[in-house]
Amino acid sequence: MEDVQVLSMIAGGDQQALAEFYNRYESRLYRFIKSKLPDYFEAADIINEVFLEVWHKAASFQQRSKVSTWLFSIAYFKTVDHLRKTRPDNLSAEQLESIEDDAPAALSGLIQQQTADQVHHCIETLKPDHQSVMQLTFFEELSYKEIAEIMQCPENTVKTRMFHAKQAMKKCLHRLLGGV
Amino acid sequence: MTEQISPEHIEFLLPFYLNGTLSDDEKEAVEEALEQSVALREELAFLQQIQSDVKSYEPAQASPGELGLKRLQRQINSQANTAGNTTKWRFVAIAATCLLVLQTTLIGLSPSTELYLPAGGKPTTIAVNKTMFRVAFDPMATEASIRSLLLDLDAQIIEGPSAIGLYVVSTEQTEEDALNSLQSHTIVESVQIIK
Repeated sequence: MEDVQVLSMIAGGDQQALAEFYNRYESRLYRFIKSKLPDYFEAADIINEVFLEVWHKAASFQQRSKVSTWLFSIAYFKTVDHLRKTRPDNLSAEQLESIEDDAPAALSGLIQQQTADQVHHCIETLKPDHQSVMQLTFFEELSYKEIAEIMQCPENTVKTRMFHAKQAMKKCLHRLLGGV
Repeated sequence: MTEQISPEHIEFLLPFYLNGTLSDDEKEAVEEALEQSVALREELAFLQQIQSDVKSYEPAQASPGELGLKRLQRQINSQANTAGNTTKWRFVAIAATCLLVLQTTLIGLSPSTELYLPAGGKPTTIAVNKTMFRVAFDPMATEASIRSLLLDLDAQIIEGPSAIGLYVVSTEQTEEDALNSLQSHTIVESVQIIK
C-alpha cells in the first residue's frame, strides 16, 4: 500500500495504519535523528513526538511533497528544536559553512586504506548538519531539492554542506591513516 | 543547457549523481566532466566508498522498535480517554451551571416567607422532643443492618460519622426504650445519651 493511502487511513483514526507506518519508517528516522542527537533516550523521545504529530496531523498532509520528505522534515524540525532548547551552543548552522577547506588532496591513498570502521568513526565526528545531509544523501538517497525541503534551507546550502562533509571526512581519514 | 553548469559546480553535484537524483541535464553535465577529469573521477570513487560505508553503518544502539510503538499507542489511547472524559465533565459542568443559574433565579424572585415550607410540613415542636444518642457501630456492620436498626427504632442519623466513627442518632421513642433497643442490638458497640 502506498504511503499516501496509509496516511489517509491514519487521518481517519486507524491505529493499525499508524503501526504500519511506524514499522516502515521508525528505524530510518532513528538513524537520521541519531545523526544529530547521539543520546538514545532523547532520540527515542523525538521519534515518539514525530509519530504523535503524524497521528494528529495526517489529515493536513497536502501531497505537495513525498510522504517521506514530509516525515523527515517533521523529524528534522523537532530535532533542531530540541537541540536549540538543550544545546544552543551546538547549533550554529552558519558556523558549519565556514569550515576551512584544508582537506588533503591525495585521495587514492585514502580510498585504498580506509576501513569501514574508520569511516564510521569519521561520520560520528561530523557536525550534526553534515551528518544529516550525508544520511539523507547516501542512506535515504534523496535529491538536494528534497533535502532542502526537509532542512528548510536553500538548495545551494545542501550542496555546500555535503561538500564540506566530504572534505571533513577526508581530513578525518587522513588523520586516522597517519597523514597518507 | 549543460553548458550552464560551471565546472566548479560539478563537484557539488557528485554526491547526487551517485545517489541517482540529478536531472537529466545535470547528469549529462557531470558525466561529460567525469570523462575529462581524473581528479573528479577520484572524488567520485571516494564518495562511492563513503556511500557504501554510510549504508552499512548501524547506530550503536538499536532503535526503540516495538517498545516505541507500544509507548506511542499507550499515549494515543490515553489522550483519547482524556479527551472523552473532558467532554463528559464538560456536560456535567454545564448542567451544574444551569442548575445554579436556575436556583439563583428562583431565590432572586424574593418570595414571601410563606413559600418557605419544609418538605415535611410546618415546623412543630416534635423535633425538640426527640431523643438523641451518640452511637458507635461495629466496624463490620453492613449498611443494610444499620438501616434495618434505624427503621426499627424510627430513628435517623443526624450527624456523623466522626473521625473515630461515632454517629448522632435521633429517635421519637422514649429515652429508655430506645436505649434498651440500641444496647441489645449486636451491631451497636456503644451508646451514649446526649439528651
